[in-house]
Amino acid sequence: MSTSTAIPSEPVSTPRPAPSAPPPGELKTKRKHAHFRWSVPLGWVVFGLVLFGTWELCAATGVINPVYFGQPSMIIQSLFQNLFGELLYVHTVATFTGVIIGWILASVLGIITALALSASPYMLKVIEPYFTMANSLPRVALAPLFLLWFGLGVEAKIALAFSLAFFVVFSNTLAGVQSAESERKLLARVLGASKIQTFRKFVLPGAVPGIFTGLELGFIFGMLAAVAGEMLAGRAGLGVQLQFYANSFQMNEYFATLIILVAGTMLFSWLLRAIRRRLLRWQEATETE
Amino acid sequence: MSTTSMTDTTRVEPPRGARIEVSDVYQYFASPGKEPVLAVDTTSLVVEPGEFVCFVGPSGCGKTTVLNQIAGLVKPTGGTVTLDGKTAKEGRPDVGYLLARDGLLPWRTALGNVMLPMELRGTPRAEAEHRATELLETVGLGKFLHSYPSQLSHGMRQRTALSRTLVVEPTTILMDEPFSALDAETRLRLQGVFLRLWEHHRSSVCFVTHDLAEAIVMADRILVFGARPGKIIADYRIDLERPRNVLELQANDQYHHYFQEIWSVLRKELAAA
Repeated sequence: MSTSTAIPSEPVSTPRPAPSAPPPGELKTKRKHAHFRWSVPLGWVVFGLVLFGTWELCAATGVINPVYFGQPSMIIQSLFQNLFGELLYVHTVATFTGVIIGWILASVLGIITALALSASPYMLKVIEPYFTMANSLPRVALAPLFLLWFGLGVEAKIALAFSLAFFVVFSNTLAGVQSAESERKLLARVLGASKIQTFRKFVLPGAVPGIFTGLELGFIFGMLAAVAGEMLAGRAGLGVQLQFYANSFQMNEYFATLIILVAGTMLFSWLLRAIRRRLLRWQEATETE
Repeated sequence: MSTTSMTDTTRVEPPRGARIEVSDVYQYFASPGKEPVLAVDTTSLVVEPGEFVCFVGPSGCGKTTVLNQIAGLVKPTGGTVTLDGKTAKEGRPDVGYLLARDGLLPWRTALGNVMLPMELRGTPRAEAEHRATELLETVGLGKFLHSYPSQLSHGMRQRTALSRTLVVEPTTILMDEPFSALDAETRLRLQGVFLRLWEHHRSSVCFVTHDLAEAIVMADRILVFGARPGKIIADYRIDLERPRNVLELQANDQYHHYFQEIWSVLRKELAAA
């Protein structure tokens, strides 16, 4: 501001005349963004260094016992030693194959079921209590049953991932479809849109954000179910490895396996979000404002 | 706009609007557990082809209900509503309808929103795009064809909605306080934009507003509704010259004369409501 240079050190107590006031928001937000650009990644690094540094230090000095808690430097070492072997090519492949197939089935069926049921309020009412019941069931409790039915291979993983992901995708899709504003439906009526047109052009696009939320959450829940199942029993899989490493006190290998799980899941979520951003440019426009 | 020649915009051309006839309608609204409420008492009105009629009155006077009856969105409890002799029905292609809230689809650009009504009717895409672009340029949004509603100001969104209503060249235009959510300056501007398009087009218009100044600026006729139960209590003809200039009219003596005359009636209704 040009006026502030005229009276440098004196704090101005009287309200300023309107013309000299800074443009509301604009200046501030710009500065805030510039500020964020470098300080946030820096914050990430500092936070990580403090967190893992403390851990490393405590393990190295014996404040905590590395036999139970592992040690970051050893974890990294173990990760690189084991990664390009069975860990990646057998166990990671086994887990992710099961989860991805289960998740795809759950997504397709979840979306179709939700869309079909949204067309019939009667059927929705009839089925509702059963869905609530199924959804209230902690699905991981089905793991022993699925292992019995489907065996120790990939089928049980698929079934478990499906059982959790399906309801997440289903309920988010349904919520998205039902969120169509009444105003939008009025517009469809006024413009003489047919039933199919109303659904395709007025309702469905509005449900896409909800569907994507369902897909993202569904994957995370599917992973949860599959790994829990593997920890119970299984021929191969990261959950199987976790159980094995914990039982044999190989904490560094245990944590290395966790890193693979986290990295894989994050990669998949990031992929989904990239697709979402492309499809939902109109929403992006809202958020940045 | 595509069929008429651009050279002759005067009244010589026969108006292309529909004749709207509302005969002896009354409307009860039922609410569960309560006595049905009489929203509109026996009411009749005729809108001649190409006539611009404003409905004014206190809130709850049934002016919106009558408009929705004409739109076919509400079926009158008794009486008949016809447009060019045909019973009112929702979703008629020759009827345009606009509300205070724009109702734009957030996932469509301005252009996409204006193309929507033509898309629903199976107009070829190229033609739809051409007509939508042309109209958006006319209302001053030529630079915002590919902006999403969230990127547009309130006034620009309502311009887009107005274009969506007019792009199919309806013979009847029904508007329910279309400019009431806008600030005073934007409202004047949009009144001007709409008047300019309409004076070229000459559809029949029913325009609900609670703003008497707006009604006088726009209308050929003003119907004053009285409250509870709703009923038309006065009918004024506004003989201001066309084409009208919204801004200049604010300083017109005749305009103020109309305002005072109608306001004296409307004021009593507002006090009673």
